[in-house]
Amino acid sequence: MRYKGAAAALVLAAGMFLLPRAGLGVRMLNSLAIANIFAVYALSFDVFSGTTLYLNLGHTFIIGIGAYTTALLWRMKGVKPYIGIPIAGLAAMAVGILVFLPSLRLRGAYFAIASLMYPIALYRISTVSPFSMILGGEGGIPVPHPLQSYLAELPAAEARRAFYTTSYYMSLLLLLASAAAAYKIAYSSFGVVLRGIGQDEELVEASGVNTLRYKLLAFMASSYIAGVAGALHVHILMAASPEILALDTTLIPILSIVVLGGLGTVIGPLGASYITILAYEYLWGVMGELRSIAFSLLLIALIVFKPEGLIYTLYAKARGALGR
Amino acid sequence: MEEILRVEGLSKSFGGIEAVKDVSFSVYRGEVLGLIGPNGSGKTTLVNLVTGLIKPDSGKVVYKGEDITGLKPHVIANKGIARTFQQTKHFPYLPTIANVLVPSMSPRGRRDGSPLEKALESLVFTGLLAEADVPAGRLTHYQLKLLELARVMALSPELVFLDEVFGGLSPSEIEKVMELLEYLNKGRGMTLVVIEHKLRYLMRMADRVVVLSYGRKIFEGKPEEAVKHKEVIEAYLGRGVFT
Repeated sequence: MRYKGAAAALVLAAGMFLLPRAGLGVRMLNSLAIANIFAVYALSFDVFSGTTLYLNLGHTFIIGIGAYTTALLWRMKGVKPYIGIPIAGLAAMAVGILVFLPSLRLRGAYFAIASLMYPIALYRISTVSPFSMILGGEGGIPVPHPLQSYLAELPAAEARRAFYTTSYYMSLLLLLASAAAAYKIAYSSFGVVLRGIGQDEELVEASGVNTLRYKLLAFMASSYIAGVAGALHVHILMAASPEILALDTTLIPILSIVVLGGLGTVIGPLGASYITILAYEYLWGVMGELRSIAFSLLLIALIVFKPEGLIYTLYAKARGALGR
Repeated sequence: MEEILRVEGLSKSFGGIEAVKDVSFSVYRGEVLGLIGPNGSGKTTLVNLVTGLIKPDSGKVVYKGEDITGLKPHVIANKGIARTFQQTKHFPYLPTIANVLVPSMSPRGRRDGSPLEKALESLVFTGLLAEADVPAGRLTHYQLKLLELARVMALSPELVFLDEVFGGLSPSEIEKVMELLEYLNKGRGMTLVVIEHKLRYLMRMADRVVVLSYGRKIFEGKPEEAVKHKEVIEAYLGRGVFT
């Protein structure tokens, strides 16, 4: 059974690698790359919040720290993206711990509300003087594509397509690595303790387990992945702007993906990201800014009618049909 | 007899209510101590104070010669004090085996053998193995009581507080739970503090009893003497029984 699952995952991964050869346009490739990044955002959210049920609405703050770290390193010191991106993950983790450690002692709605304040504050800070001078204000900090020097050598006709193809592959690699890590965390005995915290934290404590330690470790893993994803995201977009912190452009899609996929399932958000991001991109042409309202409504409907997640339900049914 | 736990002048008030007032007693290694008293006499508060769930206003808890007053619940559990809950607690969406895996993942639970082996063993002893992959939320009330005991076993404690383990069980179920408790006490050498309403069953098990009433200790001694003690009878039945 285990090998069957692993084999299915491999086939899926191979299929995703072959996608750019299927004659997709650059627009589509770009959307898929963004979908990969958002899948990583959702996974990293899920690995902490989906298991412990401490809803970290400040996840975009962590993402933003990663994004601005690599951007500032590039701008101030000329640090190359392939060095800047892993450092961004570490920075997101470190800042995340500092800022969230006090609020990890809060529970339930208090934690969610406290965590929501961080991205809102950073958004403001990034757009007002004197900080906007350093952080680039609304326009953000221009950064190079991770493979800038390689792309520059290509003829102009090929460079455009190569830009999107390489973006897709880099985001896909990050997605596969993060998915493996998140799956390992959520479906191990470590994950059992995290889920226990989500269901009855007092009982976990009474069972001799230091819940703060587990929450912190899960939060660190979540932050590292989110920071790296945020950094790669801005290099693909070629600018680190406050949009990455915003509720409507980042947080609502992440929450939609997680809820559509199934909170705490890790597998659900993987599939849900493609559906959500493609729909989100498509709706931009149809209703513009109103798309975030449409998505908020969808979010509410899902929570009411399918709280266990649509994608995960389908996945569980498919598994059942295959005899586990 | 070797003293395993000593409670010294423990007090705790909630608002104006003195839930536990200047209570002192000792628990000796290997015994079964009954902790009894009418509703609201402070039994559960006392357990919460000893296991670190709440902090006392004054007084001390000494475990194996070490002052453990005010330590965190997980620290106290790792020193070897386990407990069950009056309102049975469990992780409803986790399989039964995962419920037991949590205590066996604790530093104390890991000391002897792998967490998974430990968890499986506890399920075997409590007769829950057949339910291993059933979400705990679907277990019956009796099975949840057994799950509490499985969790206790997975921690390998030296001292266990059992808060009304017989609550809501049928006579035949109580007999089975009592057998299991006897095994924990005699077979595994665990010292038990049994909090119970049903005196009939408690009297059969307990070596000694401590009786609480309105947060104060009114009796400590042999069970057969407790039922003859005037204050104990008054606490349960009200004043004027003898007149």
